Amino acid sequence: MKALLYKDLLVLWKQMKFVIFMVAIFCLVPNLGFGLNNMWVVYAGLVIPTSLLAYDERAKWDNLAEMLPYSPRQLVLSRYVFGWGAALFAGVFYCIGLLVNGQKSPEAGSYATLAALFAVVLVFQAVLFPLIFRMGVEKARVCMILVIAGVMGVWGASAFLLEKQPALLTHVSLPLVLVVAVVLCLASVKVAEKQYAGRRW
Amino acid sequence: MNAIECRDLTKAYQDFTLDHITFSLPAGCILGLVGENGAGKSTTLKLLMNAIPRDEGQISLLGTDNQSPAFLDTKQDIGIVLDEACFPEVITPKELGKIMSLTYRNWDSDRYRQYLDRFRIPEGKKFKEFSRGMKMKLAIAVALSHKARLLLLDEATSGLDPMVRDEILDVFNDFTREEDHTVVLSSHIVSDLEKICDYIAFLHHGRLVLFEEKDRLLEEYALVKLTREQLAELDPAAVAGQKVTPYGAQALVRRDRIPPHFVTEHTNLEDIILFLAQAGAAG
Repeated sequence: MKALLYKDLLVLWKQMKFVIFMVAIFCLVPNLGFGLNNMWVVYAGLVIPTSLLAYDERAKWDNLAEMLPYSPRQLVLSRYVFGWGAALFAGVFYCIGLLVNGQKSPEAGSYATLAALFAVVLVFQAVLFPLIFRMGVEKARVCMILVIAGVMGVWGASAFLLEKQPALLTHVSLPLVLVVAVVLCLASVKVAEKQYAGRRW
Repeated sequence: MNAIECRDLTKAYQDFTLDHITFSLPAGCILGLVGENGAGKSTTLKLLMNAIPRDEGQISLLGTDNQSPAFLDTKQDIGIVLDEACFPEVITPKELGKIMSLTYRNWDSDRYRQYLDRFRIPEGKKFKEFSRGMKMKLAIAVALSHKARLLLLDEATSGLDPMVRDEILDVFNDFTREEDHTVVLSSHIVSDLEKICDYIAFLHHGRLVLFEEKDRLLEEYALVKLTREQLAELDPAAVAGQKVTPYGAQALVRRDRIPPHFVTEHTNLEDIILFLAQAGAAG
């Protein structure tokens, strides 16, 4: 799997340098009321690994990779690991942003928000990745748009609800939400492996 | 030992079926897999590598069942070149070498660099900037740099100019100087296969029409030019294929089954394949 992750890192750096800087910068800056830093954490966890899959498809690397000594598990898991890494990368900058701006700007976010964002990333990876491994990125693009719309919708609805009834937050156990998201995502790796096997025609 | 054993391999698609393919290839040989576009060559190679699921049959490569967990390890000993070199576009040969060194436990960086030099491939140029010939050469350099014992090459020489093709065929010939090294080369450029192959497998519409040693094939068949009347007199079992024109006929015949007074001409692999393909299409 080291080879796959190294390859992804190289492609990411060469193809998406600009995006990496955007993620870093927008995770650092205060929220400004648009949820920018929130959005970029989700973006990093979902869009970066998906874009890498799209680059691989275009180069037909996936056709070759399944004949090289990589197991289906390695091929699938490396994408999840990369997605987690990308979300973590954004999270680190988010935390730096909190440390720098948290005192002066309450809109800079919070560690609880970041934890919730990780949960969102994991849940949507759990939904999206098996679809991509089944259908390929091109065909799964529509699903991806729906997933992103779903993320925005859920996020907006939660924010609206919490604004109206802040007490609701006290009933939500964030650690539990995170644990559920992690379990879902790990289960999704298994599902994605099966979907990947089914995709081969 | 057989490098490849393939029994009753079957794969059905909606509009195409690879139909009960059976053959065994001894280690140390070069097999040319020939057939028209869509005959099933690439499908066969994908099935050999278990990259697509089969409907029926059994395959073992280098003594390992290709559906067993141990096959992942056997893949370390198999070099692959697909009809298009499928490396990430922005990667340079140098970076590709690093990726492959993390992929293959027997990766030989020195040998890889030697192949890059031999093929005049610049180490620092992005893959997408290479010509098709350079891309294929890079794919071949990778396939030859991890001490593989079996090379599977899918149309590796197609679309290349004759000089590059010759250079690459020489490399494959060098590879099989070691007696346990085996090559499967699919191509529809029959002249390439005739140059280097020990065995020929001819796929036609998903069926294995023949699997034979090349030299035996060239000994077995001959061309005769004759009149239509003479053609009608020939034992049908002696005629493997025929072309009838208003001016006469030409037939691919089995040398040992035609009367001695017929003047035969030496034939080549391309003629044999063409006649057999036409006979298959007619039959």
